[in-house]
Amino acid sequence: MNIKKVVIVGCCTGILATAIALGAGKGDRSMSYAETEQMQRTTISLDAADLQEPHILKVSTNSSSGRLSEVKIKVDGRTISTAKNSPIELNLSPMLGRGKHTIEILGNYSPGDSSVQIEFSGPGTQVSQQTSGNGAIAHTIVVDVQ
Amino acid sequence: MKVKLLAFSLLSGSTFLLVGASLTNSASAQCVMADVSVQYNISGSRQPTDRTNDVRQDSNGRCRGNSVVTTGVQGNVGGNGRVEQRRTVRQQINGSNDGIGGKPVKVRVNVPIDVYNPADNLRY
Repeated sequence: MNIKKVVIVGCCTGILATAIALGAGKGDRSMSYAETEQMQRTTISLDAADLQEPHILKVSTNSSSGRLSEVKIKVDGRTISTAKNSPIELNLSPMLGRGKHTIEILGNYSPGDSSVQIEFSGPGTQVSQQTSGNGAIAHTIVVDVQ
Repeated sequence: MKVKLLAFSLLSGSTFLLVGASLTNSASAQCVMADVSVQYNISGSRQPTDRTNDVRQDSNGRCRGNSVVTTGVQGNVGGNGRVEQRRTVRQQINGSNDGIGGKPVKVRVNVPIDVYNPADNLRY
């Protein structure tokens, strides 16, 4: 009788221990969350004579699955374009005269692991900025026209 | 006698399993924080590019199974004036204090490139 009890207790304890051991390896008990932020700023100088030619700002995603959303383009603090679709192409030459000009490109893209390409190109100059990882676009190009 | 021995073995083994399971953390991948970037300037300027790459990777608590990866490419081709490149990255992972996981593995790579191209000084 005593032996039977011991066997039953032993079996129950074994089952319980196995259940605990298996359960310990499952489920993510360590909740964590991550945040990222990325900003890029490039300053270049341009010859005023070159502004007679187009200077194109292009914003696009590098993959077919990537999408832009609520992209806002500002020149010297003034919003000149609010676009939802990719790619975005604008000629900025008419908005640039002698002096320093700040071009801001702000918005979002998805999925976060795709990438966004920003290009500003004119005769003899090409500025490019590429970002990926967090889904937010925060780029600035400062053009000093001399 | 054999049954007694078997029962005793079962009981002892179970006790070890219980104690072992409660004291040992399960194997898990640590979190990874990575930032990879390239900053290049190919121009007719002999002045070095004024360049910064400010990356901050913060983490709180223990963490597992999560990752943060940012990449950036910043470039200029052409021109002969001074070029300034600024890049700022902030990464944060908030874990938990339940003792599971570990400190994140932090990786930072930045490649700065300057190439002088005399052809950019020619005007036609």
